[in-house]
Amino acid sequence: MAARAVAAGVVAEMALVRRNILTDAGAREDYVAGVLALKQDHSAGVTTDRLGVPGPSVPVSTYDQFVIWHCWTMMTPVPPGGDPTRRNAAHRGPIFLPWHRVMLGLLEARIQQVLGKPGFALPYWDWSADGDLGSPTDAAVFGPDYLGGDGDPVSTGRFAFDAADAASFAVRIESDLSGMPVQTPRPRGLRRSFAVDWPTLPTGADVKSALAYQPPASSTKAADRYDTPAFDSSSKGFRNLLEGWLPREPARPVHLHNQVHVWIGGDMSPGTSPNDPVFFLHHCNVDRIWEGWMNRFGRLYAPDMSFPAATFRGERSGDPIVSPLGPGATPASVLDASALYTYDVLP
Amino acid sequence: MDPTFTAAQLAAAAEPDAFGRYLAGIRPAPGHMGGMGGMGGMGGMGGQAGRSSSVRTAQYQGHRIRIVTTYDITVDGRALPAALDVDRDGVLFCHGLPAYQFYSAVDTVEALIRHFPGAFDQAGGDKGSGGQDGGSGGQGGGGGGGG
Repeated sequence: MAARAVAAGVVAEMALVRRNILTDAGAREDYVAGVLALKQDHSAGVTTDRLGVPGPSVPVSTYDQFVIWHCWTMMTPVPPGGDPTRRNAAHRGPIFLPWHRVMLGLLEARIQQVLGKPGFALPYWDWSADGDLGSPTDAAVFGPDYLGGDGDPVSTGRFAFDAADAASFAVRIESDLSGMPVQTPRPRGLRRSFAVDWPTLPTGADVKSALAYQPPASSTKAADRYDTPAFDSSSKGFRNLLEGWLPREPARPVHLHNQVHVWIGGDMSPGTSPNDPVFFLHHCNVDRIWEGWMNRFGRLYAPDMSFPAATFRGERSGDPIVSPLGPGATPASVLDASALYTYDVLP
Repeated sequence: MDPTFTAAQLAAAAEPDAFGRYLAGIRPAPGHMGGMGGMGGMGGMGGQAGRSSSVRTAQYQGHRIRIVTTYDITVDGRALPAALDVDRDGVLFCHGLPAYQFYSAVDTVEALIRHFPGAFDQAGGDKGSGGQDGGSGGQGGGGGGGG
């Protein structure tokens, strides 16, 4: 993550700067190259059977391991023994933002390794800027020089599928109806279906509204601004607004983070959504908005460890995040990432 | 900053061998979520394919409220191999489409058919033997568009 600078014999860590993909051609090129390289990287010798994906045993690329990690975390209930559809270790609760921050950090680190570029910083896609432009399906980020466009399969850009080219971008792990990762019958192209399930992207006003959320006057804890009991998809707070479950409006059931997944559709819809490289640019923007919120209100998080484990274990401030970083990586430990990276602009 | 979220820690965890070992270690036990064949062991979900129950509890003015919502869904006469859940506000969710929320069970199943056509093609031999008009379910709140 952080790049190293050597001056006068002193090695110092310098925070990376994550930038808008539309303004940083170098980051864009490195990201596309990094994703394609991770798709071809089988250096760990990991196979589907070892990861619990049914079907014949076949190698799993490093990129596809991130897809499976997302799925398995979604199957991890909060609390243990609970129902992962209702609350899991990555979604539908306060752990949503910390877990995805760790996921981004690991992908960023792996791209640095595979490209040999320790200064690589993930770019972000500011989808609200496209929302303000009327949600064009030919937005610049989906141009041939960026992530390619709409379609089944996506046929433009460097993630277009070519059945005759084993090196072309292919989807090999997908979700079944219950969210379980399964193998595709054969390698296939990436799928997108812009504006089919929902017609618009979130706007800048939507982001500002979430950032401006104020807890009720009766609130006694500063962290109530972040999240509140029951710490799920119905709880009041900034996290739930940004994740996109609130406000509850039958005429508009999607907001912010969720809305972007639904607007893109295709492979961004199921639990295998990291299949689409836009996933990481999307979540990098979500992380940027969270960082902007913490910049305004402080590095607040709830629930803390005073909340009972029987109900909230897995999403409290000191509970381990489901990640290869080990038990020391907790929501509290990732709130301040400023030594690792910053953003060029905060909302 | 906590020393677990450093460049060195991230780099070590991102090494393919370390990452692969970690993933193999967190794979759920067989049958944990059931997949296409059944949904046994799915937390608070019912254990019979096509049928899912969710339980909501609340306390109000000293009273304990408990609401059990059960969906028994078939498509083309075959049990739906996915569970629907209802959250505290009565909104519907399905793990297969984790960023969506619905105000109608029919909308939910229609979205599943749209996004997982292959799963329903497999039931083609039963087409016509069961009501395709939905109609069942619908306990999760009426109207509204599905996500």
